[in-house]
Amino acid sequence: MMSVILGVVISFAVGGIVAYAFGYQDAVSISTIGAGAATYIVGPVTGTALGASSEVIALSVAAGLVKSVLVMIGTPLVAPVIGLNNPQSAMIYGGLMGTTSGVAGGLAATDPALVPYGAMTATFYTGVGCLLAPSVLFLLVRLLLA
Amino acid sequence: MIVYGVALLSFCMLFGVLVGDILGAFIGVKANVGGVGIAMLLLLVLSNLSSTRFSLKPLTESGIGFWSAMYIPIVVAMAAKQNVYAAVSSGGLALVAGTGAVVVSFALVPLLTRIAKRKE
Repeated sequence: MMSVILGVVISFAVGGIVAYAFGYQDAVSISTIGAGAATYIVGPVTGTALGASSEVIALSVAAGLVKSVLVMIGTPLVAPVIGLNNPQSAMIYGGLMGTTSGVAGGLAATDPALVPYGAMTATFYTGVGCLLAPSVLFLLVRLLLA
Repeated sequence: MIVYGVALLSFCMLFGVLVGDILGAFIGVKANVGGVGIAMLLLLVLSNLSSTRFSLKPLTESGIGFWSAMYIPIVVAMAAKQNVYAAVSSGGLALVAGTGAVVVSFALVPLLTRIAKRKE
């Protein structure tokens, strides 16, 4: 559970910082792109809830898609390095990465037996992301910018 | 019946949206705060609770399964009606944001695994 919350916050922070670096100054856009860096579901959900612009919502989906594809391709490559070979690390991994399609695809390429463990926590991640991003995290961003 | 699954799903959605709106009004943000997240977690809890109390019949589950299979086409449709041109023309933002999130998260996996092992 800790890995899920940490995963959402870390991805959101990375996405938000990148958005800020690319010149987005308003809390709504930064939160939406940050949420998109979590998953491509959380991004548009957050953007719609906060009333972000169409361009920003599209960017958030794109960020989530890049993440999903990278996770799918990268998982089998980095699995030996990060010790991804048992159910416990698969659950932590699913919780940190979040993107359900990426995690399921990546784990299937690594070891199909690990898929259910990663997919379970990854599903939680989407729920927690949709809950945290438009609320606590958005308010935090707004506070930081003020 | 399949429609029971759909009903459960829509109940969770409506409940989540309602709570999200109330939360938004409470905090003073003109937005639905976390409604979809509340709905998703509620559905997860309800559909797992029921395995002990009143088991979900396979047909009921397929009412939920259909919509969970539909979510990728829905995301594609949502993305298709956004201003993709403006997003693409703003350069590598999506690429950098997506890649950054993946690299940092990958790096954290061994760290958290070690912490979890130490706890045992």
